[in-house]
Amino acid sequence: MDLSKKHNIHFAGNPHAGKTLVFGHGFGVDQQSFSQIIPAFEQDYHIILYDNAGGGQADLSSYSYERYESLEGYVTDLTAIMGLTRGTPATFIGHSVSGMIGVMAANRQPHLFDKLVLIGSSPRYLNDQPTSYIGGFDEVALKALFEAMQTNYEAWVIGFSPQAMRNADRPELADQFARSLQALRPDIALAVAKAIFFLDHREELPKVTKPTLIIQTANDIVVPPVVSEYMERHIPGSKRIKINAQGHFPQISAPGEIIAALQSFV
Amino acid sequence: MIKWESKALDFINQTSRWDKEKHISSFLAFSISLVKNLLLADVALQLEFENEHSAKVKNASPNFHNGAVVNPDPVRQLLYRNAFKTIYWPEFPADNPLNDQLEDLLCAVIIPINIEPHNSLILLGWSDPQDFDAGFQDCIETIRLRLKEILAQTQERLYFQGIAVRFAAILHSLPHAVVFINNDGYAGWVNQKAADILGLAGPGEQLPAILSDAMTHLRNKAMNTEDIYNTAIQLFASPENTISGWEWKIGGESPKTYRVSCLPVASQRISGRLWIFEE
Repeated sequence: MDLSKKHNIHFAGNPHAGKTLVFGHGFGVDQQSFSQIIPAFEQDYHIILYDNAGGGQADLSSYSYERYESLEGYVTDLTAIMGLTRGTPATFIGHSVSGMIGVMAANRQPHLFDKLVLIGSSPRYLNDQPTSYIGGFDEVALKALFEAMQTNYEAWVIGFSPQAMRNADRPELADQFARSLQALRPDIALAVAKAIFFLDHREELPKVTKPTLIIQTANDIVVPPVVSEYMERHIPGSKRIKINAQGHFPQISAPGEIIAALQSFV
Repeated sequence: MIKWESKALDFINQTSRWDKEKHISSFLAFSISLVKNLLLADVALQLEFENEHSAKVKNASPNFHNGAVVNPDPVRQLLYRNAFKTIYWPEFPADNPLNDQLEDLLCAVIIPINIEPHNSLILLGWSDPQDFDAGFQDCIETIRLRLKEILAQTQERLYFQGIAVRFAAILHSLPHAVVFINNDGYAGWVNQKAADILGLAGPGEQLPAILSDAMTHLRNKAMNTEDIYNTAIQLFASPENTISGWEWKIGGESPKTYRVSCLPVASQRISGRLWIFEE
């Protein structure tokens, strides 16, 4: 399968620019989630956008439960996509789970990466009492989440969307996210959610050798502030900033904040 | 004895003596680790082709390789180009699809193992130069044959274990007590509900003699023992006879009436009788 078709890859920006930005989206959204960010970088950067397997307009026939039962399948995909950057290392901007995919791919193939930006990412969502790690979820909460997704996906979407998006004064944002979730095949959504919420890649953080920016919003239901603080402590030389945005999707709800943060770093 | 012949024999001997009480999934990991140690390799791993989109590293030593996903097509093409023969790389070609697994190594051997349903390859890597002479290659081919047996045995056992787990889960979930007595006199099976009714220690495999005793004991607790006995004589007059709606009225502290069905099970591989007790 052609890589471009498999991941619905789009090139944007200035093809003659010396620097490349690659944007990776999170669960339940697709490359369109960066549509308000891209214009600010079109002049000075070559830009690569793609859809993760199982999401957006990625080729559904290429989705495999076995390949994507952990993040490793996504890491292999991202490594191939980063190979499209014409031999120069690129800055990878990963939202949510794509942030950790970027961290892992950069640890495996550091020559493909220049810098990393992690928006609302987490190395582990489940609390871990023996190590006093707080990820934000306990086993009961995750079990309830998966049961809700399995028994009535539509109802789960309606409940989860506004909680994750926040910004109640702009309900159209949650509606937009709900439509995006509804477009997913429920069985794939559940499989992807399990791969995400059961991951534990804390050991990857100290291996990062690239300059890394961690972006934290307020009231993120998926990633509490303690997680981004943990990441900052464990990624050598990383920088964490709190932006003036609510919820898990600041690139949609507060694009100006994300643009400013990126411009200060890339 | 020549060094390589001795190593091949050692591999066969040690894998033949593997403790079969251990879980089968550890057999392949043990075997791959043994090859690595015998051949003084720095890396040894299995790459399993799970489906057309996924090939995954398993049973790796060092184990940090485990779980890595490799794009299967380029590896399959490599194997096709080499007619599924063992590939010896004294140095790596430029278009090497196993780059990540061979990082920091100098030379490697790729051993295709073709078995259904999932083909695999075994990768061995060294960080110092190796002489893949004829003796070494003979040794690898002997090891390859034994690895194929081990992999086939492992996959088959895991497949049957999976089936056993699935059917046990289904049968234990039934609201009825289910008892199967094999005609061979050596095997019987009960679900949890049946184990409770018959006063057995637990569900699963049981000797038919124990099941017969338990069922006789249950029958003797019935208030209509005579009826049950007479009906049983008619039922067992022919191995093809079937009965349903047969009432066993159990007395005692908590009287119960079971509607019993008993039907013959006859297939190519198995024959016996299935008993179902509905409360």
